[in-house]
Amino acid sequence: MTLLSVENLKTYYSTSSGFVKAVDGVSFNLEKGESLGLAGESGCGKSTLGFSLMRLIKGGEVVGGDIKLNGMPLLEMSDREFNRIRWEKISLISQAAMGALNPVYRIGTQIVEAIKVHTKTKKSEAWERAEDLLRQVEIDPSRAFNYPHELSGGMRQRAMIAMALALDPDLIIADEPTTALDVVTQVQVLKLLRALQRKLDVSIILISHDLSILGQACDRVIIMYAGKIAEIGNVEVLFKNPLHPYTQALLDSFPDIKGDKKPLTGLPGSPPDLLDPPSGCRLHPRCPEARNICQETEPQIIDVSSNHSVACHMVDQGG
Amino acid sequence: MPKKKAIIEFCRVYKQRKTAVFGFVVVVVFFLAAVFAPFIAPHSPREGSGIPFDPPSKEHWLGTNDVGVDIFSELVYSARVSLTVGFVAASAVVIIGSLIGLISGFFGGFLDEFLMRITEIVLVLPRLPLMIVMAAYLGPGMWTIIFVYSVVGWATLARQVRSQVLSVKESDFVEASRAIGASNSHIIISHIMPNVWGVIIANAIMEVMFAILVEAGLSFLGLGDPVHKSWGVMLYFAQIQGAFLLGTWWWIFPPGVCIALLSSSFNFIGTALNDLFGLKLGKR
Amino acid sequence: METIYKVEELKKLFPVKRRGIFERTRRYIHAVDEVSFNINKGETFGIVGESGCGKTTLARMLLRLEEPTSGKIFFKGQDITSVDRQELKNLRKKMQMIFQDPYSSLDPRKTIYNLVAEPLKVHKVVQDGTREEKVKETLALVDLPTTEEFLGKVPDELSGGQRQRIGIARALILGAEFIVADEPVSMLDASVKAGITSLMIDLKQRIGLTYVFITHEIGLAYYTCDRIAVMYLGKIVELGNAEEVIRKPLHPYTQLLMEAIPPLQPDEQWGKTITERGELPLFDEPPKGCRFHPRCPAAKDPCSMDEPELKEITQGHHVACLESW
Repeated sequence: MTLLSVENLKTYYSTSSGFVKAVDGVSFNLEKGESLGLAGESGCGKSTLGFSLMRLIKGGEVVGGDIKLNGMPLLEMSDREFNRIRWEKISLISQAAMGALNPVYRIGTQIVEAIKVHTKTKKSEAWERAEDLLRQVEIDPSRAFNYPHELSGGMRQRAMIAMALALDPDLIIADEPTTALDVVTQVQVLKLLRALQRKLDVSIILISHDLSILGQACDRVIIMYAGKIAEIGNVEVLFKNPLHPYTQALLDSFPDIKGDKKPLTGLPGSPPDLLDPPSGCRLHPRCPEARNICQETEPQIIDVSSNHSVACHMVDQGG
Repeated sequence: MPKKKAIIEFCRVYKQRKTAVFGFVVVVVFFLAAVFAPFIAPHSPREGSGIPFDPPSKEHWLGTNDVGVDIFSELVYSARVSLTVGFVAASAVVIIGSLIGLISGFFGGFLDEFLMRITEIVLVLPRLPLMIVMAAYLGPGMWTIIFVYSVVGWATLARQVRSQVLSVKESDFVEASRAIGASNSHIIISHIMPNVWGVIIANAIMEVMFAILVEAGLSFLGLGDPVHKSWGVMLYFAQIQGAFLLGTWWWIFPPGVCIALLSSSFNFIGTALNDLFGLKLGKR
Repeated sequence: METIYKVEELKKLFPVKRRGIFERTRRYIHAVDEVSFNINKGETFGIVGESGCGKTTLARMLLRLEEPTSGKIFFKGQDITSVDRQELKNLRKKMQMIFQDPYSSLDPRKTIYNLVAEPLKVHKVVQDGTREEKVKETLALVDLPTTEEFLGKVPDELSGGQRQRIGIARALILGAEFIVADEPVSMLDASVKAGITSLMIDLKQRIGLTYVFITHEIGLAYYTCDRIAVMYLGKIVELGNAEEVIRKPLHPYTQLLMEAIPPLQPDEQWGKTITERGELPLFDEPPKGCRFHPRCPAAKDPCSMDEPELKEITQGHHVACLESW
């Protein structure tokens, strides 16, 4: 069952020198209970895409496209209508839990507040729910009385997960949820998030610059480059058989300690300026396999198999 | 060259602010009036050129005062005093305040503690009464007012410069410069100062405004120079000679309007600069 | 092999001020606690650990950007902890640093030319006439353009990768032999990282540099370093050839770091053993005995009593763990 469908979404930021096309014509579907990864480098539009779904874009605007959650068109809702949906249907886990949690309130109080703002729950019931949520994220319920600064980084991130789950949302958007954590803690938080997502059958959009993390925590991954989707695929096929040169480059730049020590390769140059993106395929100035056609026409996304699509002329032509 | 680019960009943004442009024009007009006073003023600013208390006329555009001196001429010459006090006092305040802030912020330690305690003492002193007492003790005059203002005015700026220096000093690029082997003087001149200028310039403009207002205030209380009259001194004489009772509005309004116009113009400029530099600093 | 750097029982304590109304106690954070090692000429020496393990403090002490509390550092036989200011300035020509953040470590108001030429001006080594030539030469070395237009740009107009190249150029222009790189690629995009890493490796071979490479990614250290030292709470817990440390990690902490690396292919089994264990506790003071014992799956009673020393187990492979000996 499709939970979320995004159709030709365009989100632009207006600056004094023109429009920054951060998300430029992105379409995808998200199934119920699916964990979808959004990968790409800084400035590729992955966070903007995530925030567009929450209607929380600072300084930018959705200029076109369609977002449907359970068939409801999100972009056509008034702010008041959307405020009800936010957190009740779509919640957010952000990168810096210290910034997202209010330092002057106890953890428990903040979860209770989140519940009470949206539902008519008695305070005692809300507290029980808060303690139950903390238990689910493997925090001792007695910690409900702690302030955010009294918790370690990993625990704060767990508390954020508890808050995101508080209203039984259909969709959780997690923006770099483990980036600020230590490598070991990162594993724990990521595993927890994945386990809860499966247990509660909730959908997650996991945004990260680190492809290897998405491989472990998602069913399907979208690779974004310069505001567009380069490749979508189930993790099994995408990691084994990457078709887009950009995906291949991302995978080749990853130091693999299990296999042979082959030299790390990346791409020459740097991600383009989205004020004035390159013509044709946006990767062509950096692409090792670029041909004339790549400069002239933009590749369309084509299905290679039922669970794998790619936007690249080389694949299109069977090359 | 990026310097040139930066200046062009600065002018472009500055021009978008109507109040700031207005302030700039007013300041330029007053400045020119002060410099070319002998050519602009139709009469002597000190000797009578008409009958006393003469209302505005073709001969005397803004009328005359109690001894028949042309008020417009007096007004033009007074701009010299007000602007001199404003700029000299502000310069003194900026030099003292910046130096203390810079030294305190950059070197830290005991020196910082010591200088900041002095700064705090100056900050908590009741400024106006202190200035009145000091001016009264030293005797009326333009230089007295400049001195008095400089003594009490530097503390706020010192604190602002210090905090700015502290934040720049902690930045990675200063650390990087140290790693190269750069000396303190190199770091101050080529990294700290360029990043502190904005705060100093914006504050300097504000200080000019405060100095003009303080000068007007102290002069109105009779602590100004009776020979080289400023607008404040004009108001002082207007008051003691009964202009307010006689209803000779042409003696009261012009200096008052000038004070208000000039000080608010500096305020407009200062606010604009503060915002412009503030934006730049906030970006980092 | 020639030893270029020798570190002896280096220690750094940071005082934590706690001012109560009635008490005024002084406590210390042991950022780096009696660390000793040698660095050979021409090698890349990796220091790996999580945030707060003391790796950055150690790096800064190696260049005397941070004064050690005690201990000695020898650079080519000269004790740099006791040299005077002028001598230190001279030494800085030979030992340089590459910073983590390419955005904040370059003065935003300076042009590329001025940034790269700054070391020359500070040391007054190259005369004005040939300065530009030297700058262009160094920029070419790090694969950056040398056009007038590029020299006149400011850091804001450059990408992260280009900025980091500027940082490397600044480190090289005085002819440095020893370079400390503090997480030089951690803030760069994945596709750009590899370029900077291979440039660094390439430069090392071309001009004979010696690196200290600091990173939190043990996988990256494996690719870039000849030897690796793993740090935990201010102590080196394992030290050896990169190949050995990665293939046969002896310390449970090194093993933990290895397990934490996500494999390139999706793997459900990944991280299973880690989820059971607690995260890094918040310490004012490190735990007694082995610092890792509260998190260690192999911990036994003696681990909470005696602090293990770094011992050589096989040729060049040192470990500080009672269980591994």
